[in-house]
Amino acid sequence: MEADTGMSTPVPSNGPGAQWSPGMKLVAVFVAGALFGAFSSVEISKGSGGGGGGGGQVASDFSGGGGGAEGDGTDVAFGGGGEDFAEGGDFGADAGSSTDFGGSDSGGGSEFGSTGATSGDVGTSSGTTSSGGSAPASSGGGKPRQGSGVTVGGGTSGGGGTTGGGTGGGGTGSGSGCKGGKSDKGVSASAIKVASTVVLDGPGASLLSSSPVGMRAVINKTNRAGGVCGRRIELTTVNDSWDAARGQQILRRFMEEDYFALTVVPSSEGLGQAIDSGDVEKAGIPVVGTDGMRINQYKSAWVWPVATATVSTMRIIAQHAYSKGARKFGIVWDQKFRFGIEGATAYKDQVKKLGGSVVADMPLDPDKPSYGTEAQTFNRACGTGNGNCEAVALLLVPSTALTWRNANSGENAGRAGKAPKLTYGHQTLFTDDFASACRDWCDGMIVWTGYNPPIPPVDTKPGVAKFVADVRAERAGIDFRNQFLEGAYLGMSLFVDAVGGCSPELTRACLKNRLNSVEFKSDLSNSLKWTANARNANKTAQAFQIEASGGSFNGWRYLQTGWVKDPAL
Amino acid sequence: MGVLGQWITGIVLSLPLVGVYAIFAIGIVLMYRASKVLNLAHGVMATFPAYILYALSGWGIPLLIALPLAIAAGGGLGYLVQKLFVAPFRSMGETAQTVGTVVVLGLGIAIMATLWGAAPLLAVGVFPEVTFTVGQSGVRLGEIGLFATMLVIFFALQTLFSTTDFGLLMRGSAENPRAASLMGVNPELMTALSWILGGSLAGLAGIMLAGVTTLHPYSLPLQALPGFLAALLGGLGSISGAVVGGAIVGFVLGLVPLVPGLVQLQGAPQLMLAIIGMVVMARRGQTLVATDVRGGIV
Repeated sequence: MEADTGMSTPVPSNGPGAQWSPGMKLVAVFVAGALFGAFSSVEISKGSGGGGGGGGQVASDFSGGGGGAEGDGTDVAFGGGGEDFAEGGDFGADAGSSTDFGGSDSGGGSEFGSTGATSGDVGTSSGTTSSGGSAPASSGGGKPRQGSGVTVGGGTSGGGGTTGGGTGGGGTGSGSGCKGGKSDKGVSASAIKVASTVVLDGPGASLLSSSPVGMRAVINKTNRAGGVCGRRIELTTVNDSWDAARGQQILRRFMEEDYFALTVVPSSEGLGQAIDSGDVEKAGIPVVGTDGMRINQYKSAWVWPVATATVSTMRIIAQHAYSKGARKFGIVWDQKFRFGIEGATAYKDQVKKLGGSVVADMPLDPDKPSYGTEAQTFNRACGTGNGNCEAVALLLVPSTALTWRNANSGENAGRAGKAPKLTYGHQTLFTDDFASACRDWCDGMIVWTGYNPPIPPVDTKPGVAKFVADVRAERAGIDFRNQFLEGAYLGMSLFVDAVGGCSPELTRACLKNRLNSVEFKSDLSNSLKWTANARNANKTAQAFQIEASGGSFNGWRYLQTGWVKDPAL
Repeated sequence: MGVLGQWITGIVLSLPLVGVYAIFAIGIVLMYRASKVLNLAHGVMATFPAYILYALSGWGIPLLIALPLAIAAGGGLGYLVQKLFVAPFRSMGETAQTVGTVVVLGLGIAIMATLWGAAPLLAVGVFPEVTFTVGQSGVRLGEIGLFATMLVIFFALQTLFSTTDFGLLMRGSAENPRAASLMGVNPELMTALSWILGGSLAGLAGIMLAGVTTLHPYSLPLQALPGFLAALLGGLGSISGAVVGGAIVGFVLGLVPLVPGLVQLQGAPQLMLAIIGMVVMARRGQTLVATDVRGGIV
């Protein structure tokens, strides 16, 4: 019987086929597909909105501190004019070295206050303000404020001594006094070009696809206010599908091209490979505000992560369960992606260190449609109902966790056994979308985050409220409790703040020094501080519980854990 | 429970995997037989109808009406893919046609993600949410339904192709279109019908699979990939072969986690499948070349 010979039916000689040869059709189809794909995966965010309000002025601030201080702080204030910004740009010098970013108490205004002073010194200040009003210089406070617009301030740290305290008021940074030229790669008089790989498809998209929205929310707000010293921030994002090789390739291209820095980089797989291969180090490109949690991000001198590392969160989970009486542990983890492998190892090591034992250890391939036999093996070891496991951690992406749920019937199957019934989720499961889809099976699950999510009581913090308003302005229906969205917003805020502190003569070297010497305060997380040797700025996490009943997700409940520190750091 | 009990339980728990991969493989074989094209858009054809059902249910349309409409959408998609992305490239060969289905895969995923977002959604279940405890695990009624549906489809197609005139026409047209056309059969129509049937089967599988997992524009289309291996193992030429291939793939992926030591070994099920695939191909030799299909469709 012939296989192929009779299959070719002649192509009609008239009609559309007569004008389009098959080759042309194929090319046309491919081009259409490529264009669609390209438009859905690459975007350049140039922000929107007009420039800042009038009278931009730089608040320069020099202070001579004690002890041979180098007092060379330069505070830059920018803002005003953008309709998003209400009164209340907040600005002030804090005791010690700090940068403050958050919402204003009076609602609406953002505050960036900073000093470059090192611990123990008080940066005195005498900032000037611009048209929006006046913001009295203060030291150690940064409280009541007038003025308008967002302010970014930042003293540049002097070597080991005291530097200028942050101060100033709500002015714009687009005034003539702050103008800079082309000071480094990717920096021109009018723009700062940054880039990032993002995850818009694949299993990781369910938690990472909204990260670009968080980044854009900060950038657009900044650009509407006139940019940083008149320089707009231009972000290029490319989707790498959370694929390590592809991500590394794209990042290499970014490093070769005219970009000043990489920001947030939600796609941790490619970034991990770029760090491990030495690409980042070799290029000397700052990678600011990463949210990928992979352990290598906390070992590079050129990366400033804002997230709590997965290994930290997993150690905190083990510690928490142990403190609640658990001695027999289980874990279900993603074996395809590095976060799962790293986190599972850290969890098991911590359990062992505490004197407990991991009685059920189940790696999952995230692409399977059913985990029946895996659940069988796990539950045999862990037990259901009155089982062996007193604490179970789920270190999975949402879609895998939901399929895992489906494979488990009966009370507590696939979760912890009876009392104390502690089932934990990693930050990857901290999304409303997941909790809504998981429903009753997830009731009582304790999920950890390194941020302050928009959940009572922390949702009333001005910075948290502002975060919600900003991302909703970008996309109204967004799941704003997705912690990777919040991380992206925080990471980009860190970048904007640091760039502000280094302007107008913005260089990578300055950015690196500033990020390694200034404490970044925010309502969105614990205060963050990096040094040349200590890269884990965020070492803490806090717990929230999923509440579901009757087939509905009812919300999150804060467990009053406070910030729990990684026991290994 | 003893070791034997564990394995028996494991076999039962693997049946849903067998069911889903066999249905996918049957659809792939139907289309391949008709056009000699491996339809790499099969996963999209499975996922799109599941989203259609989700949307229709959201609009308050009862399941009894929405389900046939969604399955028909799968058939319609199969028809469109064949007409727009496969048939026009026939003169360029199977490779170009296969590339056409790759374009559909990319476009389909992008469109679904744009319309419904990247977050996993709770799909509409065809079966009631009932879970049976099997050993220390569970099987949902929907998963049992997947396996049962596969059996129904298998026997229905066997009957269609071996006992009806219509089935004979489809077989004849697939195996020798020129000869079939000389006998008054329209091969184009038969090819289109095969794609409609294949698309409907993909849609049915996708709807049922989404009902027991989640609806996700990126994950769900990937679930069809093992279906290609099942079709290859079955020889790409027969429906019964596709079912056997589905059984091999399903049981390997399902039972490996029961093997002590292997469960912790990353990629162990895939490695096992690769070994089995290579052995089968080596034994088959030339008959496993994708464009060389011998034997009847049944």
